[in-house]
Amino acid sequence: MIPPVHCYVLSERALVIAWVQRIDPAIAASIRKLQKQLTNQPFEGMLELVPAYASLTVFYDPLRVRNQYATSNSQRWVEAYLWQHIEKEQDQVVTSASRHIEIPVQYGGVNGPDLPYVAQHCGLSEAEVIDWHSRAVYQVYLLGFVPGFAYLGGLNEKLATPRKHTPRQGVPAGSVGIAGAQTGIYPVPITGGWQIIGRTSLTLFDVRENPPARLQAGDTVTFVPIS
Amino acid sequence: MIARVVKAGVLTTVQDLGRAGYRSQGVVVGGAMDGFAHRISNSLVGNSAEWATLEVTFGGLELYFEAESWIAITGHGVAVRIDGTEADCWRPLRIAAGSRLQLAYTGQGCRSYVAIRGGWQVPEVLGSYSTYLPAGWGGYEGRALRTGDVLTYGQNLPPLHPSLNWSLAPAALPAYQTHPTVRVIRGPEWGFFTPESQRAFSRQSHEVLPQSNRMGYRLEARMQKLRTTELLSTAVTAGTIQVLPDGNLVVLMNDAPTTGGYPRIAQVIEPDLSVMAQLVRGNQVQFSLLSPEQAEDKYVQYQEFTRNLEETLVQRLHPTTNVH
Repeated sequence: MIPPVHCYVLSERALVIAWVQRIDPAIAASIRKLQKQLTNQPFEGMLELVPAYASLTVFYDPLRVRNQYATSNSQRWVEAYLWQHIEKEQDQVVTSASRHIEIPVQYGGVNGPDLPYVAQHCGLSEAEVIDWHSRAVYQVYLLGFVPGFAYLGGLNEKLATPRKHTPRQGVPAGSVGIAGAQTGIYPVPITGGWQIIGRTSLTLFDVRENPPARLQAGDTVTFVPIS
Repeated sequence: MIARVVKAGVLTTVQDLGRAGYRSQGVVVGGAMDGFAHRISNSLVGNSAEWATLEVTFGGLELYFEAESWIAITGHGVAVRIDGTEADCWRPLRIAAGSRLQLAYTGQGCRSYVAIRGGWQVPEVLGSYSTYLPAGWGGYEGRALRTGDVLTYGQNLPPLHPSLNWSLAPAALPAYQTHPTVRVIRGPEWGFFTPESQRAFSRQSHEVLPQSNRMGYRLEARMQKLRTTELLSTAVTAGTIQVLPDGNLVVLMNDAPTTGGYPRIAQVIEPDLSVMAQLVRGNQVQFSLLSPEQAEDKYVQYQEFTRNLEETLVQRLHPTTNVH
């Protein structure tokens, strides 16, 4: 368990618990544990928890906090509550089961129009790009940008490729892309600047499901090439 | 059918209070940009704050009503006509069957809200009626209204008393202006900027740039960073003011992504988002700094004021409870 380093105000109804700002699976695991603990023991007025790479943001209703806990400043009250839980967390061993999800991907061709560019940029053959991309185990750090978009950590640095200069209109849902040292999957059709190397037929976001996103922060992911 | 869209205007979408509980799924909150105007339009016709209203951007909406209805129009920037006769905003309005409602843009302000007694009927998506255009969900078939669309109401409520003829006092409205002062607290990355930039942020006016929409307002500025630290993406929310690489500001609004990685120089307090939502290109914004404690007090006062106003309005709609 890596403890957070500070807590700051985002807005009148959101506080952010921040860790040392780095992409680190151990920090991600600590965030997941605190998220789980707060979900199990919410304070009155706690509304939403949003995990990110090295932070957990807590949205709350100041009126409910003030009324429930007879305080004149909900922000100070919530901050004290959060630190109390963080200290408790230090001594506890919470085992959180992490899920592993395999994502079938058709690389290249119409599904991955930028595969040739990525291969050329990285000085690899297309087959090598597919091999390196599908060999790694990725971790989902956060969902953001668009609904269900998973930020994945663990891309081999050999494959790092800058974003496109001009974003492509109408990137289809399921497109697997690379941007800098990141890889990810577009869950909904949208304009996007990532280099598209393949596509999955899995539905990654469905408003009828609960939760609607197939990938959740904390999951691990591998890509399985299919032809 | 209750109403048919004769003209849809520039951009008319169904909105509500937004999607609660899905930020961790990357789902934008959305909802009415001017939350106060949305809520009050609903209470002026006896609806719940959660029910759907039409958000009309730059006017231009024209509706034909097949059945008698009670509506209320709020927000800023439209002149209302019913069958050619001028009508007031911020009051309950009876629309006779066969009438035509027209909203003409006045050139100031941006967004108005049309509530109908019973609420506009659209399917709920992830607990909300709000339209999210980039993904094509929510609201009316996930899109802006078009000519020929047919609207109906969700709940069948008894008609209001026909003699209702009062409007909300102007003093109760947000301070809509073309050069408003908007209150902010310092953001987590305030210290990333030079003292000159910090002073310019809070002492100069910032012009609203054309690239402004439901995701955010771009404002002209020349913020200079002290350090070039790259940030990891963290949660952002409506009102977060980020500094773009070109030194300009973006005030995130309802359709902004749930997370972002640009430095957050400040945060607009929620009560002032309604004022922000009514700005158009060329308007000037000035920021004034509050402490986080002051911001929370303002938020609580604003919520209590709005709730009391909603209750008062709903009570006033029923003459039996309005004993003099």
